[in-house]
Amino acid sequence: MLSPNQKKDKVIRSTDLDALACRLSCAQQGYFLPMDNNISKLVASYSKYLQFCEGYTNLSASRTFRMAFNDRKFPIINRGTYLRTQSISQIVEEFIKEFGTCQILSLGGGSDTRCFKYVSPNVKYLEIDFPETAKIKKLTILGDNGLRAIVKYEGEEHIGLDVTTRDQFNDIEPDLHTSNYHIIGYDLRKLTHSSEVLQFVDSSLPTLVLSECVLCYASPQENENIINIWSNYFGSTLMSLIVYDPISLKDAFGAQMADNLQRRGINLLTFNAFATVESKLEFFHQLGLKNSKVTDISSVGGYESTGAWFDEEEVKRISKLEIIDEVEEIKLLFSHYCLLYGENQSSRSFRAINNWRWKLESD
Amino acid sequence: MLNLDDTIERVKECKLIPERDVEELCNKIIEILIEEGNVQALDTPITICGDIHGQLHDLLTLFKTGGECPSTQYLFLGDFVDRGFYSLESFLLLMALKVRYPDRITLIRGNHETRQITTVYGFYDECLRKYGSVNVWRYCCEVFDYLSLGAMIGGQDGVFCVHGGLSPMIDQIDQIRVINRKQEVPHEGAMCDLLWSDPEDVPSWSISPRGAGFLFGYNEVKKFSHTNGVSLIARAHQLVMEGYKEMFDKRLVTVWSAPNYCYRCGNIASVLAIDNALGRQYKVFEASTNQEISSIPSKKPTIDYFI
Repeated sequence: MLSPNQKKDKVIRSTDLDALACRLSCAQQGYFLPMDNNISKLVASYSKYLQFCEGYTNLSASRTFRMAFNDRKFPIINRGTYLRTQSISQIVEEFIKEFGTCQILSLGGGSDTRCFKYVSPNVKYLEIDFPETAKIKKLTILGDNGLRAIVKYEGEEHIGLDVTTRDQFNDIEPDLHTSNYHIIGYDLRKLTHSSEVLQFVDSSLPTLVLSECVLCYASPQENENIINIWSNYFGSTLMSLIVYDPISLKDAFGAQMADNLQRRGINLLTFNAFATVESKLEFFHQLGLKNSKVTDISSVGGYESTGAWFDEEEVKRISKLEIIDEVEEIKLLFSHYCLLYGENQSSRSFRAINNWRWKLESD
Repeated sequence: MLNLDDTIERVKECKLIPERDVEELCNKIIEILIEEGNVQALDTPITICGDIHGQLHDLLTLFKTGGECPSTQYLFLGDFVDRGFYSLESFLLLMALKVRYPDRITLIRGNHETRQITTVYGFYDECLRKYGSVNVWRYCCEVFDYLSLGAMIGGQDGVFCVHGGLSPMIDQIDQIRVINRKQEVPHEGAMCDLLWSDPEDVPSWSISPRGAGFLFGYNEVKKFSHTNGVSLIARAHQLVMEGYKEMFDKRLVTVWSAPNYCYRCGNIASVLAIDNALGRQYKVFEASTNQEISSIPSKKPTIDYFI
């Protein structure tokens, strides 16, 4: 039997499956160019190993899996997934372009496939997530020639590896370390200045830290801790932080959203605490982050007066993929997700961040 | 043989209606709709309803709010199906009422009443899930092609009703009357615009972010109303958090009748009662909490967010 806290964590881990299902649907509709073939590898991995994860049985895993993948996703969900994924990828690309040799640190990235696109001899890519989630990703990589080559895996752990029982799954070490790619199984809420995970992170490289729907599950106090630890860890080296989080706006839609998610056992701990783009920005300011900026996904998508983050041609291509029946609903849903940027007190700064249209900025 | 009163009661309880009854109901309603004009002339008093979107329980609340049919006369502005989990039951109930009381309820076509949109937005999948085949969906799509495109309430200086809005190709209501409506909704042209357009604060016809229809402003509304002797344009099509929204010196109103749209939006809904003097009374209502009465093996509501 799982304790209440274990149950909560199981639900949080299960949100990775939601995100993966959204990315798969989005990819199948042709939103991502070129087509991202790695998504389906992660899906296959989940379908194989979810049954061995904590709190699942063979039966409940296949039910959970069916629930996540069987239903058609509405165009609004595909479009939102595209906007979120592409806006952050744009920033990652520009960061790499500006700094050349740098580091990307993805917090709770789970089954995200962005790492495979950007890891390179110059770009060190690290991912930290719950040990189980890390394991599933590691097994995906070990079981695929292409992915092993991408992350330059030269070990031999994959040879003859065949995980078919819960015991075998439990025995797998979650971490995977190569010369420029690291996956680390760790509960970020436990992060301290002396955590062992820090040894894998190079504090001399300009670093972009990504948090996509991750910090929202941690309390405001845990948010503060996590951000402060990374800020300080990099010291005078640039640390840029991108956070994508839901915000309640303290309106009827937000209240209904909290209610619906609560029914699934999902508690968004920052949802009301930092309910608006203003309060998100203020939070970054209080933490001593500089050059902070914030916008929402409705603005990123071009549904507000600020203008889209994508050129006309791309907007045209996207709008042709699926029929959007309701624009008011899009604005409503997308305005409840914010994209937030800030950087530590380093002498360097990520200049290209000013190229995008932000809703609010502070020093 | 189809027993209408029995069917109405069974649908209200969300019970599965035999496929042959659905087929018979669809055939019967087509016989009625085929006689109706593109723009139905209607008398007051009448209650105008906006989008329903398969929210059967809220549709039942709507009838409690506005009065049961046939004692209250109704006009539904389309978008009966898609999005919600009970599109079929919602449409069956409205069709059964129409066949039972043809002069007390009018249904006009929304942009969702098409083969193409229903395959993307849920109605097709729902029929397939509930019956194991798409026959029922096919029968309903046949009906869609016969639905009127608009209505005129109270004659001269009355209320012009349409699902979406105006079209740059339509100056006079008579131009709507000559459209050959018995077809899948085209991707452009007058018929498409009537079902897809939206009012907006724009100086003239503008491109719609929906990718179909147009945006029209106060100028277009004034011109159309003046030309056609219309005191109010009543339309649906757009989510309004307060249930209704009057615009352009109250010459146009959006009526929205799906509370907590998609079980996600947290909005309230309304219907608009028009009295004999064309006075307006908005009756607002909230989402039903009674989602449990179903005996149909329905989909467990999963409401997607980005998480």
